[in-house]
Amino acid sequence: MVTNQVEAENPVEPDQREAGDAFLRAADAAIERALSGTAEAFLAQNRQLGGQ
Amino acid sequence: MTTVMGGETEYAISARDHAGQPIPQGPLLARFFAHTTAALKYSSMSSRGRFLRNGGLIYLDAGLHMEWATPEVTCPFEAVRYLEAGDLIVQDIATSFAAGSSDISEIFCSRTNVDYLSGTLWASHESYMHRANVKELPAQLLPFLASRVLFGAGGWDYRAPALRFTLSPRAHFISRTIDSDSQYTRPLFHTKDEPLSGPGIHRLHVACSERACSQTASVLRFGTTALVLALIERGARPGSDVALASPVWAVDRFAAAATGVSAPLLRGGRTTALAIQRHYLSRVEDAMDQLPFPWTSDVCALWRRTLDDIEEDRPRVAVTLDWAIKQRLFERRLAQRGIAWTSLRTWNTALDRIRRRWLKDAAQRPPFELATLLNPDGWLRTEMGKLSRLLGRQGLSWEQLPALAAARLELFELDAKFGALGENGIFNALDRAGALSHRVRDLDVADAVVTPPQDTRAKIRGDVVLRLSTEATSYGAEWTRVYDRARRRELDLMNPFETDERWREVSYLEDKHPLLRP
Repeated sequence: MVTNQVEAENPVEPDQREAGDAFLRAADAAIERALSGTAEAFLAQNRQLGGQ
Repeated sequence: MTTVMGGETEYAISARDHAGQPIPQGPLLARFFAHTTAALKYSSMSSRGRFLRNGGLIYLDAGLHMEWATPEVTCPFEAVRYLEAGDLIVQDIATSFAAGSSDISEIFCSRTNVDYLSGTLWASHESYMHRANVKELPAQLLPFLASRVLFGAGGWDYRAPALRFTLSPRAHFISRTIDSDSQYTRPLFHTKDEPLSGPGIHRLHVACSERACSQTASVLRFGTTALVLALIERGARPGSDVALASPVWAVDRFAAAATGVSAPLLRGGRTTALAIQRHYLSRVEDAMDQLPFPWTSDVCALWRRTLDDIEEDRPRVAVTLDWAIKQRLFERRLAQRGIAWTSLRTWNTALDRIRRRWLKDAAQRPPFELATLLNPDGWLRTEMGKLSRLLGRQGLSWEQLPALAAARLELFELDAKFGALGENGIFNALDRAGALSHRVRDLDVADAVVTPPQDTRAKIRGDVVLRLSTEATSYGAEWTRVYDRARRRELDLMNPFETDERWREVSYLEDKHPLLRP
């Protein structure tokens, strides 16, 4: 209900909503592709031995 | 009126073998650089690495990372174009390296990266030619540099025991206001001044930011800094009105959020990063007739629009600036894991309280890690119990900690892969899907891979590299000269705007000159 009230007071323009949905679709796909399923192993591999 | 600038990117490169094990980084990077030398058709040796036909430099830096330094350019849009050219070059090399290495099953390269497990990071530096009074620079630039986090790469504060989002990961590594070192103390203002040009010319070296993927963020990084520096060069003192009581404290605070955080001014009162940036922008706009670079008005317009977008929380920010894109991405992933973004503050508070008590007995205990709480001993169980009510008030409980710990590692992985080169990089994938709005112009990056800038000495350097690399002569290049052993001559490039290829015979060049080994 709160969400509906917020949306009523701050209506999202259709093109903004569409752009937002497009971003989320692309983000979901990118996240799915990026995650290895073994984050700890990946992070152990991705070490900076002497950064600046 | 011109100025010269350039940028550097440190690349994170790692690989796994066919058993899924990480390949030791030291030998991997040595092999990578050896492959780089062999794979680049047109390049010249230097004391540091290889200069390329586009006038830029690729090298294996002392901190064991591959680094790309752009050729000298006169325009922030060109700086971004050549930074992105470096990405293409490194990506191509990585692809051919992996294809030709039988032990590598997967290689990873990223242009913006923090090693959260080690608490260190890969950097991205900038250089600007100037004739300003170097003693004046810190006071006039420090507020600007502290507030520039508004264009940061975003990510996580490596010090947080749980997860604390930041506009600029590097901001939290800055420990000194002014220093000559950039590797261990990481100052806000770096005093390094290696001009690589004639007398009276200085080089401002900026080492307090990270590389962003967004063209908007990167153009603003270079363009605003060049304009402010030019303003100071002409006698203005824009930093005096907004001097911060503690610039190091301020940059750490400003990086916490784009709005709603402030820092004390030296003269009393408080200010925000937005207010400081608007102050510098106004000073630049008031002096535009003294700053007639061809790109001044474009950068100022972009600067003003971006600050307005940030202040009014316009949707455009979330598809334009790295930190805002990341925040949406991370928030999305946390939600998918059933973790509310707003809960992170409470988790950080609770874990920080335990960590402080843990550190009181540091002599008896190993360094504090979140993972330790997943199998707590009696002492930890007691401490955790004391904080159950704090968590409960936000609808949280210690039973949720394993999920948070797993999500934390995933989010570190997502952050690392955000700036990954190639099609698998998250930013690149979002861009390709048309989900972002970060581009500033139609930059011909492919051309920048092979063609040097036409208005600085980089043109001569690049043309000479191309020509001599196809001749049976051994030669070496530096930023300020090229050596030709076969003909015993040297090309002087001390003038950043040199347009004539003027060689001179040098009898002192010996066969044993380190630059001239075959």
